[in-house]
Amino acid sequence: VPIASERISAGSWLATGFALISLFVRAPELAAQELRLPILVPLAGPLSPEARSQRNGALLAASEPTPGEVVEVEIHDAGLTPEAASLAFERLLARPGTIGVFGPALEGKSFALLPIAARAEVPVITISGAEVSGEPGSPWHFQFYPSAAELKTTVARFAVEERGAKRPAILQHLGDVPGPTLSQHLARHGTAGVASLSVPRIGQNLVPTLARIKAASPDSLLLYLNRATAAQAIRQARSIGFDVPILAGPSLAAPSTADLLDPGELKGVCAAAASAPISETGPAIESFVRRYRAQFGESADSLALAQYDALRIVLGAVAGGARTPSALRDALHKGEHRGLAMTYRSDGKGNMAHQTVVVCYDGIDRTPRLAKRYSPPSR
Amino acid sequence: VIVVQLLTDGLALGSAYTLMALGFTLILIAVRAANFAHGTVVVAGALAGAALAGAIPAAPIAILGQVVAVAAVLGVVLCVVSYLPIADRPPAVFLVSSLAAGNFLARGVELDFGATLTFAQPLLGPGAIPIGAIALPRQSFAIISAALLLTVLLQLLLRHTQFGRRLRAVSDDPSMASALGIGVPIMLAIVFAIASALAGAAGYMLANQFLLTGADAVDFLLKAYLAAALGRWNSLLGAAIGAFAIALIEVFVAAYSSAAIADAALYLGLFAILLIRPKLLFGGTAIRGT
Repeated sequence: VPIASERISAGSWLATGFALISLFVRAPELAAQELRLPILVPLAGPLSPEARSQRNGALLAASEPTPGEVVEVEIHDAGLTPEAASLAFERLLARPGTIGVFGPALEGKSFALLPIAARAEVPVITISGAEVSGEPGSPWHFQFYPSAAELKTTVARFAVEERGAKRPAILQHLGDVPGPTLSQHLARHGTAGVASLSVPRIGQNLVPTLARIKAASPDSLLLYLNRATAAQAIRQARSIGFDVPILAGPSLAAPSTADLLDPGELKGVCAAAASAPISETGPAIESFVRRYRAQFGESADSLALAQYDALRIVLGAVAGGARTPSALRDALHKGEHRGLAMTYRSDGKGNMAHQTVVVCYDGIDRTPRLAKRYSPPSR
Repeated sequence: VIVVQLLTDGLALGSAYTLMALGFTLILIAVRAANFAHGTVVVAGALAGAALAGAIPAAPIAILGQVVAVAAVLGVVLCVVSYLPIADRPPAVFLVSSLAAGNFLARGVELDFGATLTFAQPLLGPGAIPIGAIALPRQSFAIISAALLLTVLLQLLLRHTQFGRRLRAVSDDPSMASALGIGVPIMLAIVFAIASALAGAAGYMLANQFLLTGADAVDFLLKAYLAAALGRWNSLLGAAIGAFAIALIEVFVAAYSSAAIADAALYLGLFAILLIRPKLLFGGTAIRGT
């Protein structure tokens, strides 16, 4: 036994010695290791318009100088399904130097990433606005866009308080996320919808659903749909002469959605979003809009600005010393972070953005006017 | 009022589905197997229309003509790539090769167009024609008219021309047709061209009201397949009636129940066909003429 013990002891020392030597050898390599912040977005499919904004916002933010660390910002395809997004996410987590991942906007893909991020203890930063509510909060999740609940509150509140809606109808996606529905938000403002219908996420004929809503004679239509479906809903609603005012979520505040439609089809359409870059005034935001247009040849929207803000804030945190996933998590949870769209702060549940705006189109051009700002949006 | 609105929508949708189903059935008759790339050609027609409108300023009706030409060329390519090399193999081989070609094309479309979604211009102008309390979309009339015209032209071609007679000869007995001096591969390439032209036209006209992506290809394929099945696989008229039946069921079920249930009904229909007559997937029954 003593001999065996000595042998084990000698082996352990030997192993420890090798480990120490390898640490010394690898130390300079580790110090020089590149830090990575991958952006995971669907590059094709129905949600690709939202993803393009996200990608462009990230590329613009990454192209600007940041003091300190060199951080590799790469765009990766999230695919069309949560499963594909999860696989891509796990591949990215396995790469050395990954200190955080920007997840895809909207849909169930973001949900699919949250438990993986929590297990791997890597921050996942989302630019959502439609689905992710951040409840219950994960300490590894940061959402740089108002939650669906806050945006739906804004839509309902604006419809009732500013537009005097008394008989609104609702059209939203089938299988919306848990949490208060638009009907419940309307009820909180003392109004009941005359019809509430859902449509699948895929591009489908919406005329039957719209005809049924039209038959209920609503005085306005509240939409909460992704960009492709929202644009199709407006096109098809107008094509059957359904011309009531429309109050919508962020999809219709985006210039890329407005560009799909004729200005006349947009008459009476208002939309809630985190910000409205092309409708805002001020040197910093106007400079952002100019640079974005110069680089990508199109107008910036609220998702692009949120992604820009989020990446600039994260890069600032890395430059401030947050070189590991846990340090980045702690930095994002602390204090306030000034961006172009708003000042962001963590509420501990993943929500960083606490401002919404409403923009409205006049039917003459595709540039909406700022109609109302809610900061923070009241429940 | 709502019934008239839905009926108009169903007829317009049915007209577009008819074009898809006619093309699908035409290939089925000619090669005795289902062309699983057909749905992708529909989407390709929509996207080709968007690309052509962006590149060449022209009236929407002229763009439609260009889309028909582009889709016809695509059809010839599909024939040469996915059918002719395996023409002497069992029909199931074409099923797989057309599926592969369709997927390859769909991925190519995604790579080319990526995040670009766009509506096509309306053929007869935007908006609706108000008739009393209802408003009937101009594009619906355009789709119904264009589909009717193309269907009549197809019938004339098949029934009253030498080409139609040769096609029937090729379908009935390719070896005998070849022995009689009919160029079977060329005839088949023309069939693929006509079928794809019809599918591309349908995609372009639908693209004024729908934002189509590569992901919609399967949906269109399914509808064309069901319509062909309802037409007992060997009748163009039957496929057209099937297409209208599918569209009207889809529209009325979605209006009075939900779009999800309308979708489910479609898949149940497919399941029933596979359960009752699975051999038809490979054109197992006798296919005679048009």
